[in-house]
Amino acid sequence: MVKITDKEAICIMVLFLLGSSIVIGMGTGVKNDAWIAGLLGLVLFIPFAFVYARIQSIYEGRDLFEISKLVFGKIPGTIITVLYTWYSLHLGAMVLRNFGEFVTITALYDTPLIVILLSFSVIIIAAARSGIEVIGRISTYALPLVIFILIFMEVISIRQMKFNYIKPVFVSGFQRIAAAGFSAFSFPFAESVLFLGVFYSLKSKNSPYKVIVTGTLISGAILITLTLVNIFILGPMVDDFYFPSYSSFGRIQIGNFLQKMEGMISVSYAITCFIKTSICLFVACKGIASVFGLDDYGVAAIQTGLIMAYFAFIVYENTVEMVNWALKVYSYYAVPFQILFPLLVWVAAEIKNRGKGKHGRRADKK
Amino acid sequence: MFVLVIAGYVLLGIYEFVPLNKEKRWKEFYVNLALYLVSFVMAFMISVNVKVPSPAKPIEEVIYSIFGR
Repeated sequence: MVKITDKEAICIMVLFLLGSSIVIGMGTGVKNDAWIAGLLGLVLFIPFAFVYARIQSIYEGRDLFEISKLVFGKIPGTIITVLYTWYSLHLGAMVLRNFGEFVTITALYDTPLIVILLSFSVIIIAAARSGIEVIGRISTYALPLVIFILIFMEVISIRQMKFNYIKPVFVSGFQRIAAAGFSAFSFPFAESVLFLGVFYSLKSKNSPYKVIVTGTLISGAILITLTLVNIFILGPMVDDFYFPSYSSFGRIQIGNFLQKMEGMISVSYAITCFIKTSICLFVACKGIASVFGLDDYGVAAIQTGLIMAYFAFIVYENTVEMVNWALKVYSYYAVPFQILFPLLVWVAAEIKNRGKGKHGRRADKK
Repeated sequence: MFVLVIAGYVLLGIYEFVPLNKEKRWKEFYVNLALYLVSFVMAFMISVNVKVPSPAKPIEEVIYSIFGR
C-alpha cells in the first residue's frame, strides 16, 4: 500500500486548509473582529480534530469509506460513502468556482469562466490520478514557497498597516462573533474531515493526531495572522472586498519599484487551491471506487474531474450568489458531514472497539 | 462549440475505453461509461447554452426552511 510520511501529510493538510481562505479570509461579517472569530473557529475545531484522529487511529490503514462499512454494515456504510463522495465533489466544485471567479475578476476579464475551470481541472485530474504520494511530494515543495510569500508580503506591507484599525475590539457583539466563529469552524477547519479518506496512507497509529493537530495549528496561525494583516491594512472596510488579501497586498508601495505585489498572493492561491481541489477529487474518486467495488480509483479520475469542473460552472449564477452561499448557507449545510457523521462513526467505532477488546480478553482467559 | 465537445469526447472515449476493453476490466468499464455519459450530457448542455439546474438552490431552500433566513 502507498504510504506518505507525517511531514508530507502535514504539508498537504496546511495547504488544504489555507485553500480558498487565503484570499477570501475567514470569519467574515464581523469586520475588525474577524480575527477573534478565526481564533474561536480554531478553538472550536480542536476537539473535532481529536475525534477525526481517534477514528483514524482505531482503524489504522483504512479510509473513511471502509471504516463506515465496517462500523455500520454494508448498506448504511454505502449510504455514508455516497454522501461523503457527494460532499467532496461539491466542496471541490465550490473551491474551483472560487478560483475561477478570482481569476476572472483579477486577471482574465474576457476569458470565459468554463475555459479557466477546464484548464485548471486538467492539472487537478493529473494530480489526483497520480495518487496521494505525488500530491504529498508536491506539497513539501509548495508549502515553504507559500509561507515565504506570505511572510515576505506581510513584512513589506508593514508601512501600510494602521494598528489602531483593530480597535474597538468586540464591537460586533458576542452573538455575531460566535456566528462568524462557527463559520470559520466549518470553513476551513472542519473541512479536514475529508482527510479521513486520505490518512489510511499514514505510517503509524499515532500519526493522525500529530498530523491533524500540527496541520490545524500551523494553518490556523497563518490564517489568523493574515486576517489581522488585512484588518490592519483595510480597516473596517475589510468586509467590503470579495478577496481582502488580494486587495490589501495590492496597496503595498515601497519606492517606485516595489508595488502592485498582489500577483504574488495569486500564486499562493493557485497552489493552495490546486492542492485542495486535488484532495477533494482524490477523495471523490476513492468514494466512487468504494461504492462500486473498483480495484483502481484512478480510472474514474478524468470523468469525475470533468464533472467537478462543469459542476463548478453551474453551481452559482454569479459572484454575489457564491459569497452569499459561502457565508450564509455553507456552515449549516456542512454540519452533517463535519459534525454529525464523524461523531456517529466515532461513538460506534469506540463501542465496537471496546466490545472487541473484552471478547479478546475473555478468549485469552479461556 | 458543441462540435468541439463531441470531437473531444470521442477522443476521450478512445483514450479511456479501449485499454479497459482490452484488459477486460468490465466493472471499471461500466462505471466509467456511466460517468462519461453524465459528463458528456453536462458538457453538451453547457455548450448549447442550456441552463443546467444547480443543486445549490434546493439545498439553500432546505437550509432556510430548517434554520430560517
